[in-house]
Amino acid sequence: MEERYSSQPVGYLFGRFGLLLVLAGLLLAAWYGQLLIVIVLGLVLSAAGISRFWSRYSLVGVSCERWLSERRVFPGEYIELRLRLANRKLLPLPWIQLDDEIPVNFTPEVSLAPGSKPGFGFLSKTAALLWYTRVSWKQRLYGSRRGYYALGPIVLTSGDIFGFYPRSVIQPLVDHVIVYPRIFPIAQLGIPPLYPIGEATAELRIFEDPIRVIGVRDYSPHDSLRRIHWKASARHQSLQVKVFEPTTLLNVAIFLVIDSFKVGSGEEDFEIGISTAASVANHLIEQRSSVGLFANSRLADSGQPVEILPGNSTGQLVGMLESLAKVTHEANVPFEKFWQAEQSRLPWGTTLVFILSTPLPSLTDLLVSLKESRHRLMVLQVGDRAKRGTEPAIAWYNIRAPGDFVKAGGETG
Amino acid sequence: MNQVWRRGILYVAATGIEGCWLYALMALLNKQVADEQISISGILLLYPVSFGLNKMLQKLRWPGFCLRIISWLLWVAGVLLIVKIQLFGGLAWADTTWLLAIPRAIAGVIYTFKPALLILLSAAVIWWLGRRLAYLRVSFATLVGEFQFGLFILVIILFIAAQLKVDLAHSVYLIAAFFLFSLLGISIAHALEGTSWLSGLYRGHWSGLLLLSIGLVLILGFLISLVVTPDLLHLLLAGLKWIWGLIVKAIAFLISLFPAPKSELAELPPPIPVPEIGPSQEFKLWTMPEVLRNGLRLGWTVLMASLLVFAMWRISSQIFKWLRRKLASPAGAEYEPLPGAFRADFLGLLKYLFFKMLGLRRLFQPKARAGPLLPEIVSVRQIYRQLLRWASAAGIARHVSQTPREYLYELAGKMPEAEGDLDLITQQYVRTRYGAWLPTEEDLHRLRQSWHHVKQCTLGDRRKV
Repeated sequence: MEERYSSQPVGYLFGRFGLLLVLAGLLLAAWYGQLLIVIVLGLVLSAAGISRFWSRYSLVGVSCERWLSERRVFPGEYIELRLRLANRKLLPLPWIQLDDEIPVNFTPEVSLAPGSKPGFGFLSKTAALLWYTRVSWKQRLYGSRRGYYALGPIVLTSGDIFGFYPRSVIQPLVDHVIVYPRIFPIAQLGIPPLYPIGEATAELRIFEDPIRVIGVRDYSPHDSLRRIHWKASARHQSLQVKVFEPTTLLNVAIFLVIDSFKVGSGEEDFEIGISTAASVANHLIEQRSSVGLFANSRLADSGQPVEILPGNSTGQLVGMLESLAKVTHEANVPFEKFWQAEQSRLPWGTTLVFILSTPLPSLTDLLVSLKESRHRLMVLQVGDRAKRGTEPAIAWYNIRAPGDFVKAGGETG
Repeated sequence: MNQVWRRGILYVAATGIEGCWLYALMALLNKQVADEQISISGILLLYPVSFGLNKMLQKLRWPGFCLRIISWLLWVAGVLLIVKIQLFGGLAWADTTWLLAIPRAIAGVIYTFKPALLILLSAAVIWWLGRRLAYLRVSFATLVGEFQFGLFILVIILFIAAQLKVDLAHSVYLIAAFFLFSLLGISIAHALEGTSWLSGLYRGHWSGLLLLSIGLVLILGFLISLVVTPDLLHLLLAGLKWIWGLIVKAIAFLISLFPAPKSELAELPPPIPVPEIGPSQEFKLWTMPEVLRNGLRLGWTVLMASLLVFAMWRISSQIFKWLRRKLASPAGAEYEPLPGAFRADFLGLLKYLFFKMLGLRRLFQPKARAGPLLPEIVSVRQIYRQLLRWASAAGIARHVSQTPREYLYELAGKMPEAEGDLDLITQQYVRTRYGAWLPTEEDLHRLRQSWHHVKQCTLGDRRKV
C-alpha cells in the first residue's frame, strides 16, 4: 500500500480553471493599461501562488507513527495508544489533522467520525506544528469485544495558513490488535468421558511415557521438541514425533462447528460458543493435556480454517486463543467436508469435543456414527435448549450463558 | 484571546470585505450621478448601525415579521436623517422640503437621477447587508464566498470606472484593505473550525506568521502589477515575433537545401522581401524598462526589510521561549522539538551541495542516500548488527536471502522464551531501516533491555538439544 496524496482547492476561484481566467484577465488588463484591475488580479494570483506552494510542501518531511502498549489483550483490558506527528522541515504547519481509523467499540467515551468501514470510526487529532517540532497524543483504547482488529490507515490533512488548498495523504500505517475471547472457569465442569476409561483421575494421570510408544506421525509446530523421533525423522527425511499409547496421554480435539451458528441473529450464542472453546482449551492445558482446535471458519486475517493439531507446548494455548480471536461467523467449508479432511490427521484415541449451536440432521448422523465407531466424544451445545440433540448415548451438555458453564457438570445428556 | 473576540474579528472581516466594494461602488455612482455631493463614509456608517440594531432586535425573540417591520422602519428613519444632513444641512428641521426630497426624486427619475435617490438605494442595500450579517453565522465558507463575490464586484466596478474614465480616489488602498480583510478573516475562520494555531501553543508566532504571509501576498501582488505592464507585454510579443522570424528563417534555409523541382513551365517566384531589423530595434530587446527596474529595486528593498523584520522576530521569540514552555498543552497534546534534526538536515544539504559542485557525488556515493543518519537510528541498527553477530557466533547466521522477519521466525523457533524481545528488536530495526520512524529515548531504553534479555538466553545450549 503506497501513500496517496489528494488536494482539493476551496472555492471556484482557486481551482485551475478559475486561476487561468484570472491570468487571462490580468494579461488583458495589463495590455490595455488597466492598472487597478492588474493589481486586483495580481493579488489573487499572489495569494493563490503562496497558498499553493505552502500546501504543496506542507506534508513533505511529515512523519507519523502509532505506538500501542499491547497488541494482545483480554476483554476488559486497556491499551494505551500513542500517536506522534513530526514536522521535519522549516516550513511550519498552521494546521494538521490526523485521522486514525479505529474500531468504534475501542473508545466508548469518545465519539468518532464515521469511518470508511462499518464498525470503524476516525479518531481525529489536530495541531499546529512549527519547524522541527513534533507533537504526541495519548488515548486509552478499551478491548471490549473479542476480535482481530486493524488500526489504520492514518489520513493526514494539512495545507496553507489561509486554508485555500487542503492536502491529504493516506499513510499505510496499519497495526493489528487481538482481543482474546473471554475465558470462564470450568474447574467444576468435570467432563467424565474425557478421561481414559478405567484410568486414574486427571490429577494422577501420567502424561508422558516414552517407553509406551505406539507409532509416529508428522511433526506439527505445536509439538514439543522432546517428542521428536530422530531416527524415524531421518528415515522419512521429515520430522516425526512419537505417538504414545492412548491410555497414557489425553489428546483432545475441540471442534467448533461454525455453520451450526445462525448468522446475524445468534451473535451472542456465537461468542459464547467461542468462549466455551477457549475455556475448555484453557482448562485442559492447565491439566497438561494435549489439546487441538479445529474450526471450519474463515479466519479474519488469512481466510483459512483453524487447524491446530493437539499439543501441549507453551505456545499451544496462545495459538488457540489467537485463532479463536480471529474466528469469524463465515464458514469456510461445510462441517462434514471439513471433518472428512481433518479426521485422518488426528492421533488415534483422540477425544472429540464438539461445540455447536443448532445441530443439523447431517451433523447428528455424523455424531451418531462416531459414537458407534467407539470414538470418545462430547457435545457442548450453545443456545436454545429446545433445539437440543436427542441422542442419549452421546454426552451432551447445554451451555446457555457463561454463568451456566460452571454448573454444566450436573447436567448430562 | 477568547471565543467572543475571535468571532468579533470574523464579523469585522466580513464588514470590511463588503465595505470595500460598497465604497468603490458608491464612489463611482457618487461621481457619475450625484456630482460628489454625498459623503460616502456617512452612508457607509449605516452598515454597522444596521448590524448592531438588528443584532439587538434579534435578542428580543419577537416574531420575525415584527422584527422585520421595525428594522425597515429604522431604515426609513436613517435614510431621512442622511438626506437631511447631507443634502439639506442648511435647512431648518421644521421646513418639510427635505422630507419631500425622496418622493420628488422618485417622481422625476425619468428625467434626472437625483442624489436623494442614490441615498435611498444605497442605504437600502447597505441596511439589507447589515441585517443579513446580523443573522449570519460567519464561517470559513461564508468568508470565502464573500471574498469571491466581492472580488467579482470590485473588478466590474474598476472596469466600468476605467471605461467611464472616472478616477476613483484611494483605489489602491481600497484594494489592499479588501485583501487584508479577506485573508485575515478567512485564515482566522479556518483556524476556528478546528484545533489549530489559534487555539494551540505559540499563538504569538502564528499571528506573526499570518501577518507575514498576508504581507508577502500584498508585496508579491503589487510586484506582479509593477512587472506586468503593457511595455513588458509588448516586449514579450516582440520577442516572440523575433523567435518566430528565426524559426521561419530556419525552415526557409532547410527548404533551400533541397534541390528545386525542375520545371520548365513554372517560373521561379520572386524572392520574399525580408524586413531589415535596425540596430536600434535589436538593442531594445535587451533594454530593461525603467518600470521594471523600479519594481525590482522596490522588491529588493522590501525583501531586505522583510529579512530584517524576520531576524528581529526570531530574536524576540527566543527571549520569550521560557514563557511558552510554561503554557499547558491543549487537548492532551505534548509538543517537543526535534533535537539535532535541523543540524543533520543542514549538514546533509551542505554535503550534497559540496559534492554536487565538485561533481564528486557519483564518485563517492554510488547509491543514492537519504542523508546522514540520526543517532537514534544508528543505535537501533547497531543493536541489530550485534544481534546478528551474536546469533551467527551461536551458529544461526542470517542468510543473505532471508528478510529480517524470516530470520526472526527462525530465531524465535530456537528461543521461544525470547520471542517478544526478538520481535521488538526486529520491528524497531525494520521500522527505522525501511520507514520514516524515529525512536524515542523510551523506545531505545526498551530496545536495550530487550537486547540484554536476549543475550542472557542460552542459544548455543538449545541448539545442542
